Amino acid sequence: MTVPRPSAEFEPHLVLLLYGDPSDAVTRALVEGRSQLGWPLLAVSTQELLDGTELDDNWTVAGRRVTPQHTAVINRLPLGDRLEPGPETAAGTVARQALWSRLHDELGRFGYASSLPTASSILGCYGSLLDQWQDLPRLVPGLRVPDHSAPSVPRALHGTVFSVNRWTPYSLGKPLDEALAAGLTKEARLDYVMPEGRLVHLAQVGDSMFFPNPPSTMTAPQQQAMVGVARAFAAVSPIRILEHAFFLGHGEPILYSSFPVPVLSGGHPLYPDLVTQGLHNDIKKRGGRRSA
Amino acid sequence: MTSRSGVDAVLRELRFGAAPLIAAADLGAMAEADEARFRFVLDFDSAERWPDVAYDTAAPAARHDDVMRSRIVSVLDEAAQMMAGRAPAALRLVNGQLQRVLLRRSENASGGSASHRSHVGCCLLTNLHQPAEAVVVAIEAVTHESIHQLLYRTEQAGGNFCDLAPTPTFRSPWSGARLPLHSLVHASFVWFGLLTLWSELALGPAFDAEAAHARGRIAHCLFGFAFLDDDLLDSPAFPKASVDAQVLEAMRGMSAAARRATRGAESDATLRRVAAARQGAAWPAAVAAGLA
Repeated sequence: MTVPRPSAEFEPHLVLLLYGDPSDAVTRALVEGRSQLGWPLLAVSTQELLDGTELDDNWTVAGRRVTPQHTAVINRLPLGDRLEPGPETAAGTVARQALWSRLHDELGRFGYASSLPTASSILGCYGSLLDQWQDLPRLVPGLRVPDHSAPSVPRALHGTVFSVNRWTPYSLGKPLDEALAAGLTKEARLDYVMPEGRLVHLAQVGDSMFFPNPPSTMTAPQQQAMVGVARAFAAVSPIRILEHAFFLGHGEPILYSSFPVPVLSGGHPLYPDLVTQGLHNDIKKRGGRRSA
Repeated sequence: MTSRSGVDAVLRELRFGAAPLIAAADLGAMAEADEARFRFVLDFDSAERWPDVAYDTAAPAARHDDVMRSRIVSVLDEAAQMMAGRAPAALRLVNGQLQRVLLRRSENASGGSASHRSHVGCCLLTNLHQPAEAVVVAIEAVTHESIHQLLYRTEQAGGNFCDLAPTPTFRSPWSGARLPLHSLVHASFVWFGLLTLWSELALGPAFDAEAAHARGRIAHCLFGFAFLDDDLLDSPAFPKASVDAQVLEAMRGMSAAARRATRGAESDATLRRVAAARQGAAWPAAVAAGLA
C-alpha cells in the first residue's frame, strides 16, 4: 500500500460519517476502526440525518453541536441515481431533488468532505461510463479510455465491439449483436472497442492506494502508470474515495471505470487500513480548504 | 467579445417576474396590442427541412391532418392567453423573438422542440398534438425556443458566447444529456428563463395538476443550478478560456441567484422539513420572490 506522509495540518474536532448502508466497506472500516482514525467519530444514518439533525450555521446531531468548518464529513450516503423519475411520484422526485441539492450546499460548508453530491449521485460520482470516458481524460490529461461511440459522440469503431448499459460501471456488456438482441435501449447503449488484457483494480483514498488483485504479469511501468493516474485524480478530484478498474494488456493501462463504492477491494484485508490511514492523511492534507 | 451590456440585457429579459421598467400606461397599451395571442406564423406546410432532427420535416408524412391542426391551434391560443394573464413578460419575449413556428409530427421522434443557429427567428415543434397537458408543454416550448433566438441574436450582434465546436461534450446537470459547450452555455440561460417562467405561472394555477406540474418544473430548474458551479464551471476539466468572461460570470450569477432563491424558500432546519416545504402553498411564491 502506498501511503504518503501528510504535509499540511488540518485538525478536525470531529469526523462525521453519514452512511446509508451499514455494510458499506468504508462505513464498516470507520466504525470498527474508529480508534485508528485519530479523531472522534460520529456515525449518522440516513434516517437520523433526515429527521434528527438540525441544519443551521452549526449542525445539531442527536443533541450534539457540530461546527462544519471544524469537522470532516465522510459522505457514504446512498449512491442515488439519475434524475429520471422512474416509478417515483412527481412529488417524490421534487422532494428528492430538494434533499439532494440542500445536502450539496451543506456538505460544502465542512472543513473536509470526502465527496459532495453531484448531479448524478448523492454519494458523488463521475456519472455514467459515457460521462467518465468523455470527462475523465480532460480531468487527468494523458488518461486512456476505451474507444467508444454514442449518439452524442458518433464514431466508427474498429476491433472487437461490445455494447454496454452506460449506467452499469461494473459490467462489460456483451458483444454488439448479442446486446442488441437482448434489447439494450438506445438511451442506455454505449458501444466500445474491448481493450486487450484483463481487468485490474486500484483502490484509492486520497493519495493512498493499493492493488487488490495485481496480476503476476503486471510490469513496473504499468503499475507506475496506474498509480500516476490515481495520483492525478488525487490532485484534482473532489471525490476522495474511489475504486478504479483498468484494462491491462501489453501496453498502457486503459481506464474502464472509476466508482465511489469499493465493490471489489472492499472485502480485501488491507481495505480497512486504507480507509483509516488514507482518510487520516487526506483530512490533514486537504482539510480547511474548499473541495476542488 | 460579448459586451456586458449585451449579457445584462439578456438577463433582464429572462427575469419574467421582475418589475417591468416600462410605465404602466405603456404596459396597458402593449397588453392590448398583444391581444393575448402569439404573433408568430404557424407553418404547417412549408418544404423546410429542419437540420439535425431524426425525421424529414418536409415529408408529407410529417404534416398534421386537419383535426390535429385544429387541436394545435386551440392549444396555442390557450397557451397565449395563459401567458398573457400570468407571465406577460414571457409572452412579450416570445412575440419579440419568434417569427415562425414549424409544426410537424413524426412517429419516429418523441415530442419536443428545436432551434438552430442557421434559422434565427424560427423553431420546430414536434408532436404537439400528443401530450395530455399540451398547453403547458407549448408554453414551455415556445418560451424555451424564444430564449434561444434571443441568445442567437445577441451573439450575432456582439460575438459568440463561447467556442462552437461540437466536441468535447459536457453532462447537462438538468437533462443528464451530453451537450457541446455552446449548447451547455445556452442551456444555462434557457433553464434560468424557464425557472422564472414557472415561478410566475405557479403563482396562480387553475387546478391541482397544473400546480403540481409547475412545482416539478421549478424543482427541475433549481436542481441543475445547484450543481452547475461544482460539477462543471469549477472543474479543472471545464474549458473556462473557451467561454466569454462576461458569459461565464452571468452563468455563475444565474446559479447563485437560483441557489439563493432555493435557500430563501427552504430555510427549514431538518432535511425532512426542507423536502416538505416544496409541497407547501407558499413555496412557489417564495422562489419567485427570491428571483425577482
